[in-house]
Amino acid sequence: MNASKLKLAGIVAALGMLVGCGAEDLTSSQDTTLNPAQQVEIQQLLGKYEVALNAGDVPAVMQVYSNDPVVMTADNPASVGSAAVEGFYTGTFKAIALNLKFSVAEVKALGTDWAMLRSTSSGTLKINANGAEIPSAFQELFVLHREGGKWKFARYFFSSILPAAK
Amino acid sequence: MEKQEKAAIEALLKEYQDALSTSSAEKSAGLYAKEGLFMSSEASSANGTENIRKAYQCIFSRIRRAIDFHIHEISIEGDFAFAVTSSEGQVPLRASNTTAPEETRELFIFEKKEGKWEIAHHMFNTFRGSPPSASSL
Repeated sequence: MNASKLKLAGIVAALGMLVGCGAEDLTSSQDTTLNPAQQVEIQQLLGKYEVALNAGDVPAVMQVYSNDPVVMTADNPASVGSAAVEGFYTGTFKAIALNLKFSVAEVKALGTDWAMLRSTSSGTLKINANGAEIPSAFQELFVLHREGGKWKFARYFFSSILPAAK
Repeated sequence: MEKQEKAAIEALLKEYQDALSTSSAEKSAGLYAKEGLFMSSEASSANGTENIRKAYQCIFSRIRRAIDFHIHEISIEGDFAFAVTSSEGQVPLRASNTTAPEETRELFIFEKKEGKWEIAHHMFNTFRGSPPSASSL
């Protein structure tokens, strides 16, 4: 078992201990400076990402990203630029299969051509090498950029919301 | 004008860096907007000054770390901005009295209110210097 699998095993052991260092009043908020059509478009973009991610479909994943994406995920080096992001997802899908359901927590304009999306996701993560399925829960923060009139993910950070293995 | 705004955001990041380096939950939380949100790694989010302060208090009770941010990007549009930063270092683990190498990457979303930049959203995650792994997201 490699280090990542040990960590994943730790996540399983830690499931149910969602106390951690955070506390949020669970209210979803949406800023009025994004018109309803833009809000729907961004929510649909997250929906497309969910479908592509769960299908392990790299070309479909890349369609939700801008021309100069930056993806920074826990326990992996930064992926800067389309080629690096594509490589990250290709490697990820070889190793694991995801079945995650995303929920929008907040959508907000950051000026005219930038916006942010905050979400959470939960479901299972299957290790392709041995078929083990692991319950998973994440939080995500996206910065979106409007390119050619369409919103795309430009910066993407996420992390597990489960405490690390001790 | 944008140069001035960028300098103001860099100054805010420096204040935040100092607050982290001195393990001050009070100062860290004080740099957020009142309705700000802190998305800590391996914990649920904390929103509002008091929850954010408690979240930092919780983190500082576990680890202490001198932070030196590398600013990779600051993008500004009107009263909104975001920044991507990273910091590298050895993390002293209080429980075991040992250290671990760690790179932390940060995403900040800022809002300017009444002429002052504040942290509206902040998320970080960590990469602990092992070889690149494709087996976890």
